Amino acid sequence: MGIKRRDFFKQSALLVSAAHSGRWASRAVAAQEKDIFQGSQKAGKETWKNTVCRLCPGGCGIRVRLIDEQPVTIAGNPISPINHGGLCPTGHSGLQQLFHPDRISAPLKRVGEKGSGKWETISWPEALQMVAQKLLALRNQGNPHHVVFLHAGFRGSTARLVQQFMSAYGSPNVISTREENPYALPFLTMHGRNARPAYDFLNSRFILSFGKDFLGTEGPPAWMANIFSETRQPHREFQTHFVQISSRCSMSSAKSDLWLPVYPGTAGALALGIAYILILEDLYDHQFVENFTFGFADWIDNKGKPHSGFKNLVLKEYYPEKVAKITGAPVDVIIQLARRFAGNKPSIAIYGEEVTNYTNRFYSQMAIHSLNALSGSINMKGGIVIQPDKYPISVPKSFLDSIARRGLKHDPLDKGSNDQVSLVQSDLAKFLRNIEEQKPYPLELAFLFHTNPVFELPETTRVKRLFAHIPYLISFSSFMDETTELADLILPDHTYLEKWDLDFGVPNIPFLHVGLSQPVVEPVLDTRHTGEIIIQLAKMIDPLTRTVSSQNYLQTIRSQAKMLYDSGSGFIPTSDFGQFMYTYMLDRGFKYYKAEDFEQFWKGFVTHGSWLEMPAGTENTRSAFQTPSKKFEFASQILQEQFSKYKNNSSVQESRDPDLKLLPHYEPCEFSGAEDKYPLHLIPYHLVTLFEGEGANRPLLLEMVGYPHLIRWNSWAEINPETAHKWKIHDSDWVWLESEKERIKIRVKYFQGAMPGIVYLPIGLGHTTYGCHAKDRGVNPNQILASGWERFSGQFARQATRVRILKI
Amino acid sequence: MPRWGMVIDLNTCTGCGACIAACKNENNVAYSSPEEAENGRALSWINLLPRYEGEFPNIHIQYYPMLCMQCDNPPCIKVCPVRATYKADNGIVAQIYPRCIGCRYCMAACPYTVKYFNWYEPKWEPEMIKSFNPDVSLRPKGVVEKCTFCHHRLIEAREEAMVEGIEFQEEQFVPACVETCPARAMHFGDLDDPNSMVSKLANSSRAVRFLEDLGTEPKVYYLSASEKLI
Repeated sequence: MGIKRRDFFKQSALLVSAAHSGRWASRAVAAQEKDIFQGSQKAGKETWKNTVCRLCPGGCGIRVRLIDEQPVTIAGNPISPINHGGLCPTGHSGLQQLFHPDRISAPLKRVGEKGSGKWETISWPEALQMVAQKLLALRNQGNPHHVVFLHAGFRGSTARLVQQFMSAYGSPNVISTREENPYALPFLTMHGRNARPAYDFLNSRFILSFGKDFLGTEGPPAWMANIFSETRQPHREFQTHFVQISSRCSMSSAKSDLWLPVYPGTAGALALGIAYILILEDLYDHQFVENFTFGFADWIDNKGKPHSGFKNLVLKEYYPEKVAKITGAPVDVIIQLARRFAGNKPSIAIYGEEVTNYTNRFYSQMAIHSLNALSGSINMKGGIVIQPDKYPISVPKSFLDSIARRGLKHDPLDKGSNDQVSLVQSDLAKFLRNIEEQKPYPLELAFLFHTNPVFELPETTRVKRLFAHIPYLISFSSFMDETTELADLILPDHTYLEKWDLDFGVPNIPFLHVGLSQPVVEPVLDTRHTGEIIIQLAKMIDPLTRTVSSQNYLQTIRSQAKMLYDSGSGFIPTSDFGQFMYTYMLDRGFKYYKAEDFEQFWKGFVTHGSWLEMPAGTENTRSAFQTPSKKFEFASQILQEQFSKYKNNSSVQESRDPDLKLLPHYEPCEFSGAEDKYPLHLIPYHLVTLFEGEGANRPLLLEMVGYPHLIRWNSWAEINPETAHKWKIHDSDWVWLESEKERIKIRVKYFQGAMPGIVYLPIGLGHTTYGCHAKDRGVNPNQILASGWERFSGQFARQATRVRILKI
Repeated sequence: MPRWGMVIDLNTCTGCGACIAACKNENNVAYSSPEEAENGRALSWINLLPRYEGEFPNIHIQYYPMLCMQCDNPPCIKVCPVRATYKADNGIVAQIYPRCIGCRYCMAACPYTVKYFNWYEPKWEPEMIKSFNPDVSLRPKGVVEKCTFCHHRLIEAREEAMVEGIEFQEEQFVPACVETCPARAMHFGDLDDPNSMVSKLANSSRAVRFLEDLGTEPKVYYLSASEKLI
């Protein structure tokens, strides 16, 4: 590329930065404006520090510019293997998070009623003493499992420390309030393992994306933008074609080579229609299907009972005319797509939010993933690889005394129970039901780590009631969000720019990567690292010191960095080669510079910010399936086993055909609300600036929130003009959107990229608290979602609500 | 003397908005309030101008990052009664804020509408003032401001070169938007240097400039997006 990033030679250089700044203000102006116009007039010493952005799950490397130890700019780290120097808009808002006027400045104890907003500032020793007493009391009663640690899908060292602490304490309850791996289901049933996919877009020639907004919030944004840009370079030997299948023309749709709108919740049917053509025209990968798959043809189980296979099911049911009717995609396009999918190998079929947010998500996901098997692109170069997760960082096993052992024998509160088939480890629907019914045991104390379920989860009123009834709620939040408002004690955490941490496990990347977070600035307020709090609590609860033994959190991560060093694998990248180059050079025996001792390794780690290991080739894992047949299973025997477990349970309503329910198939999505009364679909979607709503407290992001429509500081509802005319609604009119449950007031925006009959709402605005900028800004679509929870994943079907529109 | 210019590849631009955020932070651009923004008075030196063509489902969407085009023949400097805006030797169109009387003639003259007027005092929370970029001065109410190609970075890079005792390299100067672009869609450099990436791209067949027929000679080029494949 033509532009080299400014390199690090400027570190520690004394710059006369005031020479060209701040001088212009005439006396008249300067007299009017005192402080802020003069703040920039002195020279300062410039330094840069590398750390990791934690504002979204992307894990980008960032470098922070400091003038006289004061952070002034955040930029992408050019040698980070994830973002290669780029940074998304959210990454730039970090300093507004750090210097936000509404940050919680010290530990707070609730003094009034729950949620009344009356707090008393207390000292840290006092706060810790209170928590330790609560924890000890519960433990001495023999109820350590009544304690729950809630998080928003955390990872890295903090996650490991918390897991360690909680199991030594005796609670199996470390629960994520967001879906940690929305891609898991087909891997559980068809590969036999809980895995996360990583996509080799760069070597792929055809990418069929079923509703995955890959350039938006799905996939690390900077990583995906970088990859996408790489595929669009003119000097490449081959072109990578993107096809986006979703109802809304998102940025991913607009940038794809083809955007194919389908009706909401019908993506699975389209996948099966494509499979039909692949099978009928004999376009599938025979070698892979014959050697590495099970259940493609009809099969006989070990009891001698015949079952129908995927091939016959698809040929019988999913002919293009039928699929076209279900999905709204034209027949010739379906045929074309299938031929192109088969003709441009390696090709990948991926799925995202517009598949996982419907009640039929499970079989749709399986149907889409079947296409990968048909094209033979599993564990292949240019295909889908299983994301490597074997980090050479281990934590010592927790020491369990008798109380802890007894506590851990209990099922976690989010475990799918025996009244329904649940495949995932963490079933959120079940968790909410369990705390509502106080079954199988009550929840008495909950930790809340950077998650805001009252805002983020649908059924807002119910979730708020549930959290208000938790006897003791301790929040680590830096801001007074909707859930923290209901807390009894707040132990504010540092922001990511003030703390040490190791970050690993970034989703969707095909290599091992550890990012080092270092404090770029001394803590601004009287806050404390949650990791330190955990360590100190462990010291106050007797047997836990045997498990959590380090003096402080820095020592913990230094010992983990030592494991990286001792493993001898991987290296610390010191310059940006790009992914091709790494593999190219490593294949040819290139060895990176290795540190002589750990101190040198640590110094390099702190300076450069990341550790990297490229996995060995993917070919030998081609047959690594952990299913009963040791093959990729079109007809899932794991699922068969699950179903047979609950055969005699009367509450399991299984009306499906016994063969059909093992195979990928299409079943219509169940939408809430009658079609005649609620004629429109409601689809909430994520914005890269706000994610689940965390970004809504920063003016930088709020001001640019609706830039595609030139809307600022507010929510909007996208609607096709054709639909709007039907209800006599004009552009920028205020309307009520009403579901079975509730209604919200919002402004309409005409958008030709919206499918007729659907209203689209951005997620993330509509906070009732969360600081001066976020409060009462826009609307929260979660309020009016009325559909149900999907049973296999335990997640809410967010896009399956019907609404009506009323002009104000 | 280099002639600084920019090339934006619309084929790779994903419309993520990172350039907007990076610019606002780098240049201490003030925030609007919701009320001011409603009146179209929000400041943003670089903006993504959306263009929607066609009707569902045959719709074509393109975002154009719009910033000051740093014209070689800028209409804005000709109308300024006090010569507050002028073209520097390196081709960057500059604005002398203390000289500006706020008549907004330049805004009216600019065919790209990329000049912004400070309708209100810049308001900042006292805590957030700490994260100001000290290299860029703040603008008071009543003056016009616009993109400077991060001119302060050029001065800084020159100073750095001087301190280090090395010759100033073209690559040392990169505006904030170009630096942050995660899709590497923005390129920056010397248009007069035939070996630079920007001059090669600016001379390619895909390069276009906005409203070229007005004779403004803008120095921001756009590489047109390729045709759809299916």
